[in-house]
Amino acid sequence: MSAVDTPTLLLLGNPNSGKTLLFNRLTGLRQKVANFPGVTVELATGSSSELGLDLVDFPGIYSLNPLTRDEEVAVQSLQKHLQSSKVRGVVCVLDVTRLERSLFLALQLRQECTRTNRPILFVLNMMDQIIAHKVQVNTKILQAGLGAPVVEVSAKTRKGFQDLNESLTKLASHDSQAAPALSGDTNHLKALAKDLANKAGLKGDLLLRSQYRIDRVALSSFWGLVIFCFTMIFLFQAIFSWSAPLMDGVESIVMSLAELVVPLFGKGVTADFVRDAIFGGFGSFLVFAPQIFVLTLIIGFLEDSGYLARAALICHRPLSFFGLSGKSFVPLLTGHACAIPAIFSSRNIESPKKRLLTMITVPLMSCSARLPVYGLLIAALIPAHTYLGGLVGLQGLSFFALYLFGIVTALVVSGVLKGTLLKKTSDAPFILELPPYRLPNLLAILRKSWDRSLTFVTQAGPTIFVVAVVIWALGYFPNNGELDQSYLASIGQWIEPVFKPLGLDWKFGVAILMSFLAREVFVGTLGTMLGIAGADEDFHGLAEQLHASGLTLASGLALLVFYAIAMQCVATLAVLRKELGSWKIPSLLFVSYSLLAYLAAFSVYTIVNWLAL
Amino acid sequence: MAAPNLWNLRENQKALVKDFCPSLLTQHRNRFIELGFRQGESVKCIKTPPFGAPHVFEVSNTVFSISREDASKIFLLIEQ
Ligand SMILES: Nc1nc2c(ncn2[C@@H]2O[C@H](COP(=O)(O)OP(=O)(O)OP(=O)(O)O)[C@@H](O)[C@H]2O)c(=O)[nH]1
Ligand SMILES: [Mg+2]
Repeated sequence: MSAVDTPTLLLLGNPNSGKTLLFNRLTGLRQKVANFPGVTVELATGSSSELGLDLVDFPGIYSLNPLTRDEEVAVQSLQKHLQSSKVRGVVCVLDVTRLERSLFLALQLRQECTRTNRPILFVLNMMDQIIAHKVQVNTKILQAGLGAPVVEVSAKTRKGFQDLNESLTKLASHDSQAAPALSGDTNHLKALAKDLANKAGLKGDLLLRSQYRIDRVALSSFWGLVIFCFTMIFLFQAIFSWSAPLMDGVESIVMSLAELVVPLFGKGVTADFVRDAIFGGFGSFLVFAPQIFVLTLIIGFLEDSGYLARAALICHRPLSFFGLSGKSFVPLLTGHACAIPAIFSSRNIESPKKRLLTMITVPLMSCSARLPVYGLLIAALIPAHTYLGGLVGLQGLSFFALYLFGIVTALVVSGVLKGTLLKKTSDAPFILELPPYRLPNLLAILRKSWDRSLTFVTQAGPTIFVVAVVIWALGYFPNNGELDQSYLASIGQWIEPVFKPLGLDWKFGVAILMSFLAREVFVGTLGTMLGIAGADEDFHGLAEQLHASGLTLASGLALLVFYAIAMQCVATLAVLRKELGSWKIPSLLFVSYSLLAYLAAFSVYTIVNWLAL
Repeated sequence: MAAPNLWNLRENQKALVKDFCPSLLTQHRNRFIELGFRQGESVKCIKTPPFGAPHVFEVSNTVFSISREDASKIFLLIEQ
């Protein structure tokens, strides 16, 4: 924690200009960086011990007149920060490859800073890009035109950081002066920006031409569609098939560890506890971490390449049909990792109505917390047949079908709500800036995915562990290992009638109920109970045990459908409450998604049983 | 005859911004101006993707995609 009066600088600029990367470099933090506009949607504060400064990273804005929620957050907080005396100045980050557009905001910010008597520093970022194109900018002209110091840097290569550090220190010191006053409205500033960009030496579309060449293919009628479909199929197929060997690896590690550790406790309650609760409960959950790793890895590649904005564009029309926007694409896609950041990222959608529909439907995406549940049930129910020489697997296809099911349900829900509840709400234009294509940085993405999987395990871990311990204790006592005569079984009898129509016994009832805390808990809970029930001392994978326990295909599919729809995540509900300002919609969603999930599961169970007869 | 609008531009065609449809809200019109679509500014259509997807335009050295509803509210002066 920094002291109360640490000098603070504010990092502002256009979306996708590299503010967050710069912020991360200066503070050593790891805020999310990605190659599309509107990644940062909330303020982040960090400190640079080297400079003795606090820095605040803002969401990107096109102007000081906000249109989207993230811009609103930025502009409102800017006004608030500029009233605080510890805020010494503003750092305006400009994307040098899109200078004319960047200069408009730069001039607006300069007006604002002068009005509040704060010095401003202009940072020309992405210098590596223009050096690669062998063009130059005239910083002197810019400096004169902007009335404040200008430094050239590359947040990527760290070029120019020495100058930057000096300039930042100077900016935060008391001898920096606000820039001279500049009057003029939007039109005037726009003209000024154009003139300045031309004089400084970056005209025309030189830097955009390589982007156009790729877009000619990526956005064409035939190839555009092929690339889009291929990317999506690849994404969902890879989550299953790439992570399979990794998961097998983790599973065998967990099992050999169990074989090594459990005997150390001899025989009796402690040994049973370690085997059933720790390895059976917590260990079974750990097995699914690799899937989350692979998922974030692939999404990371897409985010960095610049393709996501194109995919959003291609999807705009079809999504509009269902009441969503092309800008819903990124929240919906990243919702497959986790609904929480996805709901935040919908702040970037201009239309309040489409934003609301996006937030409502994001929880239906098959998030990574559902992966363990899907993975377990698919492994237990679906045979591992492969076709086309191992290219397509039945289990992989089942995964794909579940993803598709989530997406289709979301579209139907959104389409129905669009036509009924939200008919009259107003709309806003769809404007999406297309970022340049960039080669993703493998190392950075690997690190990001590793971080993400680690957070997933460490965040869900404690809950899962506690639940596993409680479930174990209730399932083990009073008859030391007789699950069917345990406390848990007596509690379970109460729940059983609810799940009986789905062909599920009380054990599943308990697991489902527990997973309203968080979905991942399902696997750990079931693992613990089956661990107690399995009398033999051998260690098997949980899927194998589940298969042996006699779960029918109909009930298994019903379970999958239930998990695909139900809103079993307290954290998501809390975030929805934060974004919507009341509990009304979140609680409505909770009830309706749970009912819908149950009804859908019941239908599936009935239909499969009927077909099987 | 209706004035040509941004949506009418063919790929690689350039034009100058003339004015906006009166039905466009002031707040939204201002945003378009801030992004570069102001009177007399030159715009170029880069790509008209299939299936009614938003068209891609270059204006003030930046690339934006704009949907049909919105693009058709920006009127143009097409040079021959
Ligand atoms: N080549 C190059 N790429 C950069 C540089 N700085 C940032 N980038 C890339 O530009 C993209 C955007 O970076 P961010 O830091 O997320 O941009 P931002 O300004 O925080 O964007 P928003 O949060 O959306 O406003 C990422 O793909 C970065 O890797 C740079 O100096 N050179
Ligand atoms: Mg950012």
